[in-house]
Amino acid sequence: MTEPRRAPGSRLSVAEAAAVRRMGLRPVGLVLGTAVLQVVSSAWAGAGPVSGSARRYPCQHFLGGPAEHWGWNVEDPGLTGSVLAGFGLALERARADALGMGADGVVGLELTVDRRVGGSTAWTFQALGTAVALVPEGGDPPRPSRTPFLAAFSGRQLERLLLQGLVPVTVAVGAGACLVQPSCRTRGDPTVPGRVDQRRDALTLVRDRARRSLEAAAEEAGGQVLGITWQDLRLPGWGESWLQLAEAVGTVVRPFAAPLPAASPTATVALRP
Amino acid sequence: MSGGGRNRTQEALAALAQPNPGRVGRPVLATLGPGELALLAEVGLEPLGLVGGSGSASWSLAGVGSGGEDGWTWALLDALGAARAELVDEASRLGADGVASAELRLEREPGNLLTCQLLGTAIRDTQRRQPGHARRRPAPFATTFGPGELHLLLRAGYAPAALVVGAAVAALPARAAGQAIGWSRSDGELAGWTAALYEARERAMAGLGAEAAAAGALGVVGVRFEERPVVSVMVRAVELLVLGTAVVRVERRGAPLRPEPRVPLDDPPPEVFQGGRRRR
Repeated sequence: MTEPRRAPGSRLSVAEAAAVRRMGLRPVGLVLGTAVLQVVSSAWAGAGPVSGSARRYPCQHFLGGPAEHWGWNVEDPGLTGSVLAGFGLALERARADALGMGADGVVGLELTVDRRVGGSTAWTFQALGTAVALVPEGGDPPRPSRTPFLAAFSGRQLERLLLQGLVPVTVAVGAGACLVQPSCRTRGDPTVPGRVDQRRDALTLVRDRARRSLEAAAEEAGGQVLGITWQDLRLPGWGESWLQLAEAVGTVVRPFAAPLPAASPTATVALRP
Repeated sequence: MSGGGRNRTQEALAALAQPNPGRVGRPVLATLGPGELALLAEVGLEPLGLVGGSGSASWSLAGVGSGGEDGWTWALLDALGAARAELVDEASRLGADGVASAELRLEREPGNLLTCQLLGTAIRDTQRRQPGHARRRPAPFATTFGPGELHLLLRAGYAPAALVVGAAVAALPARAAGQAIGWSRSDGELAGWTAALYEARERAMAGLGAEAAAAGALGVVGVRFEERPVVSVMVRAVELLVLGTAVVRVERRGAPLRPEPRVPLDDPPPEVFQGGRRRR
């Protein structure tokens, strides 16, 4: 008895699948890369060794006050490293999955982090997408061994990308983390209103670090990062402190040919009821 | 299957198998997708990098309702202004002419603290560098418009001049005790509250208009209102933020704009149930 043929799974919608087929690709299966990590952070490990940027914010009350009214921001490279390592493992496993299917790439790759399983310090990183392969034709020359590309772009976006002479290389992740112990003003103490530099500085710091890691990924792959999505998170630490975390994901693309001339888009007024 | 598309993919995959060509200079980071890149290119714009700005301010709740809301309005404008200034400054340092797709994120904390962040993609005007267009570079503009809207704006003969903001706080006067606890037997307009909202909206819009005028703009488009009621033991107020893109007249770019009416055939399926009741 012959084993029934396995139908390839796909997360592509009809329109996305049609766009992929227009480019000579077909879906060959779903890929999933997962990694559960024990993440490390100075916020949860107490006042452990930290490095990187640090700044103090004095108490704003006229008579000064006990040390508890002071605040400080300390960069958390441990957590940044954990986030980058978790996403990196998930992406590599998704790529290995695609390679095992004989795929040329993965489209519509979605990255998620689940922070609920195993408490606040065990994070589940996942990369889920659809593997695609070039449909072989009789006269095709053999292709060199390859590493499948990874793209967070959907099928239609991939089509536009290729028509513009750009090829996706990999998915880049950026992260930055900072531990914030709020000063009296940052806590929202109504007796000392004014500009809250501590909050602004924390956001600027994590944004800068996330941008740097995206740039490093782009440089390593020799391209630029497009379609970046961004999220800012505030995770509880000890007492009133919190962790300001920035996560960014984009697709590294590289030029391979001159863009094909495209017709100027037509402006339309939709007459939808 | 399209043979042209297949050949293009084959060419792309062959290029991917080649060693990393390396890169000279700083890599470009952008929130834009491939289609948006094409829209920008057609009107002579290109992305330069990801830029952001943030601001945060707090205010005292004491005195709100008796003319004390000025500190509150100041804090709202200061937080927004600081985020915008940092965004434009980062774009300027990259040598950009503007920031597209500026996304405003507001985080409101214990009643009297606002933190805002603006994130966007710095863009360069490639036509400005050509001979005949050389002139002193003005400060980069910022807009909430994405490449699609920016493309249409430039094709229609307008350009963004600045991201403009306005803010005001409407302090709502106290009601009679019966009205406050819902035991009032007669309905009627709370004229004081209506008037306070009108007055606050006018103040916020006046602030927005003043910023647009300072930018030498013809008008403000894409205006977005953010309202938040704040009710506590000490305060009964509505906070208003207004944000929009000030525009100026420029020479048209790209193909002339002649919108065509179309009937799309991809209507979403009708919602059969809404709020637990069947819709008629």
